[in-house]
Amino acid sequence: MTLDELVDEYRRVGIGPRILGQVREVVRAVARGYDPAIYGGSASWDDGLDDLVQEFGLEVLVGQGQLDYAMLMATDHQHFRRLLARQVRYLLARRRRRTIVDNLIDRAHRMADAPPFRLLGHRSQWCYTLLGKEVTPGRVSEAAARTVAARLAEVPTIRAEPTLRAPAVFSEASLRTILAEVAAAAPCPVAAGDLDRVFSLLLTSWLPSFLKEAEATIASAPAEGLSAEDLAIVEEATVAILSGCPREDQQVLRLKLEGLSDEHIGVRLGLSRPTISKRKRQAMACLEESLAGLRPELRLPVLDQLGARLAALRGGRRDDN
Amino acid sequence: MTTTERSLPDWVEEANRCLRARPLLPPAGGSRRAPEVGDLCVAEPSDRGSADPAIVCVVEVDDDLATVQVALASPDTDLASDAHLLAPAGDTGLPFDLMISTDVTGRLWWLQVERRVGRLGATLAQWLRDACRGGPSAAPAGVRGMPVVGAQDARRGFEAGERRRLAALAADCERAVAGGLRALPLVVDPRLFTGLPRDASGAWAGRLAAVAGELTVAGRSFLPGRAVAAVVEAWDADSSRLDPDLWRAVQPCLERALAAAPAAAGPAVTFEPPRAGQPAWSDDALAETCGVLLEGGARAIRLLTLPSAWSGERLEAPAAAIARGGGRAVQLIRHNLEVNP
Repeated sequence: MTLDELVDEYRRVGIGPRILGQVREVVRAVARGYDPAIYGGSASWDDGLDDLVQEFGLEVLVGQGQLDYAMLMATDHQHFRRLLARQVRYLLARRRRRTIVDNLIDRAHRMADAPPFRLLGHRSQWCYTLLGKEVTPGRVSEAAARTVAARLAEVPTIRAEPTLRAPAVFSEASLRTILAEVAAAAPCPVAAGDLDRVFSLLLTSWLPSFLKEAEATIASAPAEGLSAEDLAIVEEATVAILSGCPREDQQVLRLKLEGLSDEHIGVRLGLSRPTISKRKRQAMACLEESLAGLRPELRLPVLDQLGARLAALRGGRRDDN
Repeated sequence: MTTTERSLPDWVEEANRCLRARPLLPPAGGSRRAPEVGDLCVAEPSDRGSADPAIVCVVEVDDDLATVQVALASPDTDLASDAHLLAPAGDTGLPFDLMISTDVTGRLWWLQVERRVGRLGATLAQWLRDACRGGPSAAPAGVRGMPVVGAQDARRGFEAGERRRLAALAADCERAVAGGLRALPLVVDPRLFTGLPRDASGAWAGRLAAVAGELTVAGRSFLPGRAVAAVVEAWDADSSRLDPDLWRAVQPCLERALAAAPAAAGPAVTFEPPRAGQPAWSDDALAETCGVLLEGGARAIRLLTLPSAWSGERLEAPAAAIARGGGRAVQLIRHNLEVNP
C-alpha cells in the first residue's frame, strides 16, 4: 500500500476499500490501548469497535475534515496512519470528556432547581437562569460561551483516578459558581446545550491528560484475543528486547516502529545516516533474536507492546503532527 | 481478505456523499504567485525530509528578502489556548477547523509556502496580525481558546512541541537572513556581459561600474567561471572610462571564479520563470553555478541580473525566481541592475 494509491482512491471515490481498511486497522490498534468500559461504553472492543470506526469515519474524517487534512499533509503511507491514529486518540479522549460533561449537566440540572437559580422549561428542554433576572429568548453564542469559560478557567478542579469513568471534576461550590457566572453573563436562559459547550471548554486542559493516561496504560493493556499465558510470553519478550537493547538503539527502534525513514530519524536525533544505520542494525539484531523463538501470531503483539513501551518511556509524543 | 466495494458499510456511502458535496483540496504544486497576508499555506521544509510539513498563516511579507513571517496553524482545536486564534472551516475555505498560534511564529522563504490552500477572512487576519505583534489579548476572547492555567496544564508540552515543529521548518531561513540581504550569496548573471554591441563602450562602462559597485558591498559573491572571459573583454572595450578602483572590486570575484573547480555532474537546473530568448552559454553557466550552490545547501541567493534576461514574470512576484534541480530548489532574489542598456 502506498500513499499515492490512497490519494488516488480519495480523489476518485472518497472513502473506498483501501482507506476503509487503513481506518479499521488504525482504529483497532489505537483502541486496544484504551479501557473499553471507560472509552467505549462496552465490556470489550469486540462489541464497540464497529461503532467506533463508524463514528470516526463520519464525525472525524468527514464531519471534521480530518481525512482531507491527512491527505493534504501526509508525506508517506506511515505518516498518513500516524495522522489517523492521532485523531482516533482525540476522538477517544472526547468520548471520555463527553461522559464527564453529561454527568456535570445532570448535576447542574438538579442544582438549577433551587435558589439562587430558577429552573425553566421541562424535561429535555430544561434551561435555567438566576432568580429575579430578566431574560430574553435566545441561545448563548459561541463567542460568549468562550468568553465566560475563559473567565472560569481558574475554578479549582478535583483530579481523579484514571479508572473512574465520570469523575466529579468540580465540587458543589465550584459547580454553583460556574452556573451562576454563566447565567449572569447570558442575556437569555441557559440551556443544557449551552452548559455543554462551557463544560467542554472548561475540560480543555483535561483532554491531553486523557491522552496521556491512555498512553501510560497502553503498556499494560492486554492485546485482544490472547490467553493469559500468551500475554505473559509477549510481556517476557518485550522486557527481554528492552533490556537487551542499549538506550541509544532504543531511540532508533522507536522511530523505526513509528515508520520513519533512516533519513528522518537522523534529522530527528541529530545523527548521521551511517550512525542511524549502524544503530538500526544493532536494534534489529536484538529484535530478531527475541522474535525468532516466538509463534508468528505473537510477534505483532510484541511489536505493538514494544512501540507503546518505548513511547511511554520517552514520555509520550504529542509533538509529531 | 481484501475488502471489496460490495462489502463497504452503509455509512461509507453517506460519508462519500458529504465528501463529494464539497470541493477537493488543491493537489500538490506551487501556486506561482507571491504570498499575501492571510494566506494559509502548507509550509514545506527547505530540505525534503528534514521536517514534517505544517499549515501556516502568512502574517507579514518581505518583498526584499522574499520571505514571509508566519504563524503556525494546527487542526488540534481541542487543545487551543488563549494564545490561539480559532479559525472555523467556513472562514478559511478549508474543510477543517484550525487554531493559529499567535506566539509560535517564524520566518520562511517564499519557496516554502508556494502551496496555498486557503485564506483567512479579513477580520481574523487583522486580529492575527495584531495578536502576533501586541500579544494574544489584542484579539477578542471569543475567538481564542482556553487559558493555560498552572504548571500542571498538560498543554504546555503540546505547545513546546509546536515550537519545535515550526523551528525545524524556519531554521534555514532564519539563519540565512539573520545578517540581512547583503549576507546572502550574490551571484552575477552572465547575461550582464552579453547583448551589448562591442562598440557601445559607454554602456559597457556603466554596466561594469554598477556590477563592481554591488560586488564592493556584497558578502560572498559568485561569478560563473565561463563568464570571466566576457567580463575581461567588456572591460577591455573601454577601460579608459573606468575607475581602476572598480577593477580592484571585480578582480577577487574573477579570481575566485577561475580558481573554482568546474561544476562536475551537478543537477540539471531549470528556471522559473524560464530565461528569455534562445538558450545561450550564459544560461548554462548560470545554471551550473546555481547547481553548485544548490548542492552546497544554499536555499536563497541574490542574483544580480537584468529584467530582459527573463521571459515573463512569476505572477505578482517580481523579486523572486526559482532554480530547481535534483529534487531541490533555490530561491533567486533578483536584483535588477539599474543601468541603461
